Amino acid sequence: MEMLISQEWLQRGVDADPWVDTDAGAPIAVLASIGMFIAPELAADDVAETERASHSFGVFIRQLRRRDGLSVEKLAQKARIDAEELRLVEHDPHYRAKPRMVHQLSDVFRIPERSMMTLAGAMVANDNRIGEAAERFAAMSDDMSKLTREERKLLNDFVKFLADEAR
Amino acid sequence: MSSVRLATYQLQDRQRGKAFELSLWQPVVDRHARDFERHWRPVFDAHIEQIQRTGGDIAAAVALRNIQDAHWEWGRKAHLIEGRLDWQSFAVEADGVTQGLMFVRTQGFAREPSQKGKPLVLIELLATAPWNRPTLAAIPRFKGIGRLLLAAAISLSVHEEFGGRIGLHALPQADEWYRVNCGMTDLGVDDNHMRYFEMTDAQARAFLDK
Repeated sequence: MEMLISQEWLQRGVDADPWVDTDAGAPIAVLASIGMFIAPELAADDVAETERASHSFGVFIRQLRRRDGLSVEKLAQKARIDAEELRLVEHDPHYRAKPRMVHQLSDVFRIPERSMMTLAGAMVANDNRIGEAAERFAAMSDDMSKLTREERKLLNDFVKFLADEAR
Repeated sequence: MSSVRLATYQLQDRQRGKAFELSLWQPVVDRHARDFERHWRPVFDAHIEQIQRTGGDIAAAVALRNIQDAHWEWGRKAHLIEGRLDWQSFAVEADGVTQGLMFVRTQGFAREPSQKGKPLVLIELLATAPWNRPTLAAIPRFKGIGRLLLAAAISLSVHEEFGGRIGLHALPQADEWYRVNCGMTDLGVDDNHMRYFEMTDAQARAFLDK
């Protein structure tokens, strides 16, 4: 490929341009936080694993929502996300939460974003501790209208685990 | 994979008051990713910490920068870009450090009514080092890294026989530069919640002839 500009063209443009940011696409810091610069061997592309992660993440969000006594609509409003997408996250293991949604939810529930990204499958962790703990959590969580004392303890323990993992 | 130097230019380092040679490389390789981790990331992290310390709104700062849904899959599958014919990447180096990065796809299609459906180069990411950004550095070092990378995208588009057509989603603080200084067509905010711009073949010629 041949570059079609000269030194003079570049200098003229630089002289005429205002001093402004020129970035395009997603901010690079955000891309890094979702694992853009990951080693190939860490970038697993396992569909079954992804579905398990999505399921665990969905159960986790549902339990957090129930703990806080929020309807889907109320949580969507609070997190400024789409209610229909939130339903899909909670119930459809084929649906993968978008980064913005994970960010907004981590903000509302005050869970470290890095852990949430890993849990949601957006970021590849060095080991699978979060994924394994999430699976155990999801398997033990029932979908009752109100959290039982045991479910609440399980949920709180898992929240604490995610906070510790982010340190 | 090795990287090839495509061209060299000179730009003034405004902090040190002297000119440096800039080289444009293709593709992005490990040393550029390492530079990001060692040199770029600490500045970003310090910036976020400063916002936290001063009680600033992190969510609002991130919202301003707009996390893009489109990059979700890309983040997980970054390694697949390597060796794929529909992705190209570029890096600008000066003073031994990466000064800018760009990732593009060559399988985009124009949306602008007069060009609709014609192939274009889609810039998925154009990023300059934090010390080159007026919003992050009191005295940015190099001005023109974005312009150089944009010219590389147009050159690639011509090379691919796309006539210089390119498309990109601009960050809010860069909207005006793409619209006014680069003469791109503003096609409004799209499903990615970012403003989408396109440069037609005629606009590309005008930009290169300036």
